[in-house]
Amino acid sequence: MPQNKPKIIFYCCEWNPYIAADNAGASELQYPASIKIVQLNCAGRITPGLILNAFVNEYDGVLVGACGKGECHYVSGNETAGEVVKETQELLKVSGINYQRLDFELFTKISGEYFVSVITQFYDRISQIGSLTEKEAA
Amino acid sequence: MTIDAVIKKTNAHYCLECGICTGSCPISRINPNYSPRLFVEKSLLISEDELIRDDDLWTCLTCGACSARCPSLVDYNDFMFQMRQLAIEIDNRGVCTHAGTIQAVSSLQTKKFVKKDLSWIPKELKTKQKSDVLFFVGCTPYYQIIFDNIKADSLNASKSTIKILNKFGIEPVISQDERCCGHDSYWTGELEKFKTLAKHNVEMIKNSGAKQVIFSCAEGYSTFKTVYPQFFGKLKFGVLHISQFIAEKLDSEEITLNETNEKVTFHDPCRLSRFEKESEAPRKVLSAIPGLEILEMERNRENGVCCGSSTWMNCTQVNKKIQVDRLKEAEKTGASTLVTACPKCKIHLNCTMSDNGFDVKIKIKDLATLVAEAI
Repeated sequence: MPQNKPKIIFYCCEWNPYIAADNAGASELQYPASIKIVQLNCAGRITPGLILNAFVNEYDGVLVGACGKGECHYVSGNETAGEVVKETQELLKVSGINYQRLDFELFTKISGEYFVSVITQFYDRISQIGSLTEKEAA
Repeated sequence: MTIDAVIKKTNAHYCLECGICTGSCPISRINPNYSPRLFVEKSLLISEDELIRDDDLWTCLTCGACSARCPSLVDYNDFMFQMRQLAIEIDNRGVCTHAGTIQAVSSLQTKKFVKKDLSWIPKELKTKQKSDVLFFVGCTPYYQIIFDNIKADSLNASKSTIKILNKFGIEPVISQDERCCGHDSYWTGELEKFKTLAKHNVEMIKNSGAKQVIFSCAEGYSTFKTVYPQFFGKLKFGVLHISQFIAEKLDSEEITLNETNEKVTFHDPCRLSRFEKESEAPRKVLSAIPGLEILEMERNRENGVCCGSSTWMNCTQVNKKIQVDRLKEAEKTGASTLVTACPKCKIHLNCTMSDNGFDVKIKIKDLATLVAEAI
């Protein structure tokens, strides 16, 4: 049976998480190709609407990356992002969608290896949960 | 539909320029630059292209205060609805409040993979898999989460409704396949989204075999009662707002409610009072609670003013001022509680109540909650 690759959106802050992603590219590290990176000026820009619209467009998973604790360039954008993700997980539960399809990660490091390990772990988790349209409809 | 057809359909060319609409409009009262009369006039004078680019299109609350009083019977609400359909074709859209979260929630519900979680229903309340009565919950489980910060406690009305139904010996069906009623999509001109949601709901109710559908939300009730039949013909099930359901039961059954000494005032949701012409049932229910005193606000029943915001669009300081005025009006009656029958009215008024430094002290309760407390 042909397996579809999970479609994932990675909303990330342009500082730590994006620099990490950039470093992964510069070091020519490999990571799953079905992940789309959407750069935000700060993770605090994330809204439940942006996340839910990814699921409306049938993405299988959404990961939000923010800078580490105390490292946000705009004081508390990372904390805001954490709250938004928590709220959106609740909204997913009400809709009967597995809330683990959405996760939040604080990037304390900016190494490419760290980015690859985070994103691959999330990719593996979503692969295990399966496709949104097939799995949850059953 | 072309603009000429819209003008013809909504009687816009009968406008006498009397200005009653603008005098009745809650927005114009605060923002004199907005005028329903002027907008109708513009439709007759300026080009279609210019008109559908106008931002004023999204300022209207569709509360119906203007149409209700228009001597020429111009259907301003329908006029706005048709104009909005044309406007979104050229991507002139309103500004979504709450960063588009609620629009995204309703878009999500157009998807087949959504299956509602019903774990919010308390264990002591009884529901069934098959029953003649279906309770349409609506968006309250989502609002409970989104408006937790202003303590709107939207889900309380839904729980109370089940409690009331149980009290009358009814165990309702609550479906996991229920979708957003599509009210907001309809009034923002997004007809395709509305049709998808509505079709799903009609199908769901058909499959459940229910003959009666109960709503605790005025918007859901009005959408099912008036809008759905325009698309699906006469519905094969009856729809009732919880206030109408209780009012009917009060006629046929002997029911004792606990005494209270609360003084309340009733805020009429526009979808109930003006759209569905139902302002007596809620009052009948309230007066059935022994000891409860109803103090009317100056603007009540079909003259009631909108709660200040609708369809989660364009919420500005003008809308805030409408809410502040309404709450002050409620306080002036001497009531300790403002009762309403629509979760959105409750959210909007609660939002103003939770503002820093706002000094009106009044409780806001849903009608269903009040009745459930008296059981």
